[in-house]
Amino acid sequence: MRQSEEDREKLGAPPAHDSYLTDGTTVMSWLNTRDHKRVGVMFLAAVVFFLFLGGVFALAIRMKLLYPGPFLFDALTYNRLFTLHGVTMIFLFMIPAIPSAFGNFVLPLMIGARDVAFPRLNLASFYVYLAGAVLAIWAMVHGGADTGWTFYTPYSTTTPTMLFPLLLGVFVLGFSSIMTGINFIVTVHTLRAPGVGWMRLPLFVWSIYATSIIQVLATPVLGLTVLLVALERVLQFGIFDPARGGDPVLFQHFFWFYSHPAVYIMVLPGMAVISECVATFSRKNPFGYKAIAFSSLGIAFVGFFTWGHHLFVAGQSVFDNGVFGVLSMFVGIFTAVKVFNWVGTMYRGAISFKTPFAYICGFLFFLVFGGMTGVALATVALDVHWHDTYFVVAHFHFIMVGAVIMAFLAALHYWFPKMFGRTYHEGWGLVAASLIILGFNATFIPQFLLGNNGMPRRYYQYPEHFQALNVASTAGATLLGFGFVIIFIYLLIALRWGPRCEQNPWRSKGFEWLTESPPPTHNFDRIPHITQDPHDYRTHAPSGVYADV
Amino acid sequence: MAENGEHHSALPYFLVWVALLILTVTTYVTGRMHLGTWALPLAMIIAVTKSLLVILFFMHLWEQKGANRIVIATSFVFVALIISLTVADVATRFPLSTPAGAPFGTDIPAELEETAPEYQPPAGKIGEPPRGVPQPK
Repeated sequence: MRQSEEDREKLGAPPAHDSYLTDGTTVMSWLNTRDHKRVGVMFLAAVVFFLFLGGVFALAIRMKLLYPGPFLFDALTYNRLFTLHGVTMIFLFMIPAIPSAFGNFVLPLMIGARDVAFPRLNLASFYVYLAGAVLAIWAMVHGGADTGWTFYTPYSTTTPTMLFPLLLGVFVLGFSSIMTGINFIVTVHTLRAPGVGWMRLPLFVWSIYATSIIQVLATPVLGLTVLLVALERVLQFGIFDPARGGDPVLFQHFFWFYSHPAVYIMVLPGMAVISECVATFSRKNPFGYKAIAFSSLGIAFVGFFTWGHHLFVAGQSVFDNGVFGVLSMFVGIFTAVKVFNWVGTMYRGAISFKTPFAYICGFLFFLVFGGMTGVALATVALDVHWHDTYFVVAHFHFIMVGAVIMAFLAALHYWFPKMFGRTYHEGWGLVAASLIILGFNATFIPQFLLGNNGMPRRYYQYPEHFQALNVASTAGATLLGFGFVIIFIYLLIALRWGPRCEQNPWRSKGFEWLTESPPPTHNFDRIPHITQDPHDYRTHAPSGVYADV
Repeated sequence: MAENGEHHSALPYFLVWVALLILTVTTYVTGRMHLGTWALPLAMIIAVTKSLLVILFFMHLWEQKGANRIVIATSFVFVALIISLTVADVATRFPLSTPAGAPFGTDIPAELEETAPEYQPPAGKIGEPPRGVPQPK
C-alpha cells in the first residue's frame, strides 16, 4: 500500500479520539481491565504465543521425519513432542483463538453493547486460562507427557511421564472455556441494542452463540474424564481397567463426547469469521442468512451425536459403529449448506481481493477437502483401512489447521484496523497468504498419500520408501513457517508504524464498524439503534442511528 | 418466591425430605437383596428420582420459567445421550470384548462357550494395585 504525504504526516500522530488503547497505558491498567476489548487483545497475544510454541513443536517433529531412522532426538522425545504439539495447539491455541480473542473484541460491538454481560468473569476467564497454561508449560518443562493429546487409557494411567500436571492444566483450561461460553450466551440474550432482533444478529454472533452452547454443555465432560484418569492413576479406581471390571473403551466414549464437539468449538468460530468476511469483500448481502444462522445451531446439535466415529476399530459394537457412521454424515449436510451459501454470496458480488479474501478462498478449499475426506472416514469399512494412519492426520489438519487457521488469519487481517486503528502492508499480506496456502497444501497432501499407503501416525521410524513424501511434507511445513514469520514481521511493523486508518477502511456494513477504529472504552458514546439487517449493501445509508439513551 | 414477598409452606419440603429418606432406605434394602440383573437399573432409577426431587423442589426449578427450563431440560437430554449411546455400545458389543464383570453384555453365545475364559473376580481392594498386574515404576 503506497503511502501519501498525508498518510506520512499521520504516522505516529495520536488518534483523533480517545480509544480503549489510550485509556490507561500502564501494565496494571491492562492487567486489571474489565474492558472486553482489552481482554480480547490479551487473549490474542497469548494465543499467538502458543501458536508459535505449537508451531515450533510441529517443525521439530517434521525435521525428525526427514529421515526414516533415528535422527535429531530419541523416540521418547519424539513422543513427548507430538503430545505437546497437540495439547498446545488444541487447548491453548485453537479452542480460545477465535471466540476468546476476536469474539471478546467484536461480539459486544456487533450487538451494540458497551461490554459483555459479566466483565469481571471475562477477565477471570483470562487468568484461569493463564493458570491452565502455566500448569501445562510446567509439565512441558519438567519432561512433558508421551500419550498424545488424546490421553488414551490404559497407557495414560501408567505412563511414568509428567501427565498429571498436564491433565490438571487441561482441566483448568476447561473452566476458562466455560466462563467465556456463559458470558457470550448471557450477553447475546440480554445486551442487544434496540433494533437487533434475533433475525438481525450478525452471522458471526450466531456462530459464536452456537459455539458457546457447545462449550457450556461439553466441556464439563472433559473435566470429568481427565479427573477420572487422574483418580485411576493415583488411586487405581479401576473405571477404565479391565482387570477390575473397568473398560478402556469407556474412556474413549467420555473423551470424544467432549473432543468431537470440540472440533466444532474450533471450526464454528472460523465459519463465523468467514460469514462476515464473505459479505464484506463481496459487497453483497449474505445469501441465505437464515440458512447460515440455523446451520450453525444444526452443527452444534448434530456434532454431539457423532463421537463414536473415533471408536470404529476400538472394540465398539457393530450397532454403534453403524449408528455413529450415519449420524456423522449429517454434519456434512449442515456444512454444505454454509459452503453453498458463502459461494452464493460471492456470486455476482463486487469482489475485493484483499488479504482476508485470500484466506477465505483458502478456507473454502481446505474445509471442503477436509470435510469430504471426513465423510469418507465416517464410512466404517473405509475407516478400518485409514484409522490411525497419516490419512487421518492430514484430514483433521485440513479442518483444524487449514480451515481454522485460515479463518484466524482472515479475522486477524480483517479486524486489525478495528482493533489497532492502523493498516498493514497489503502486498506483503497477499504474499504471506499465498505462501501459507501453498505451504499448507505441500505439507498435508503428501500425508494423505502416506496414510493411504499405510504409514501409521505417531511412529518414530518408518520404511525408507515413505521418505520422499515425508521430505515433501517437511518442505511444505518449512514454507508454512516462513509465511507465519512474514505475517509476524509486517503486523508488528504495522502495529507501531502502520498508517492510521479511517473508521471503516473496508466500507463494511457490519455493525462493529459503526463505532470508531480503535473503539472508545465504552464502545459507543450513544447506544446505536440498528435500522438495517447486518451487511445490507443494497443501500449506502449507515446500518444504524444513534438514539439518546 | 421469598424476595417477591411470597411465603412458602414448609410442608412440601418436609414431604420431599421424607420421600428422599424412603428412597435412601429402599436403596439400602434392595442393595442387600442381590437382585442380579435388576440391581443396577433399580439403583439408577432411585438415584435419578432422588436427584430430580432435589433439583425440582429444593433447588426451586419447579418455579422457574422460560430459558431456565430449557437449560435444565437440555442438560438432561445430553446426559441421556451420553449414557444411552455408550450403554448401547456395551449392550450390543461382541460378547468377548466386553470386560468380565460388566453387568450385562457378557452372555456368551453357545458357539463361543467353549473358548470363553472363565470369569475371574477382580483381585485386591480399591486403592490397592491389583494382584498379578504389572505396575509402573
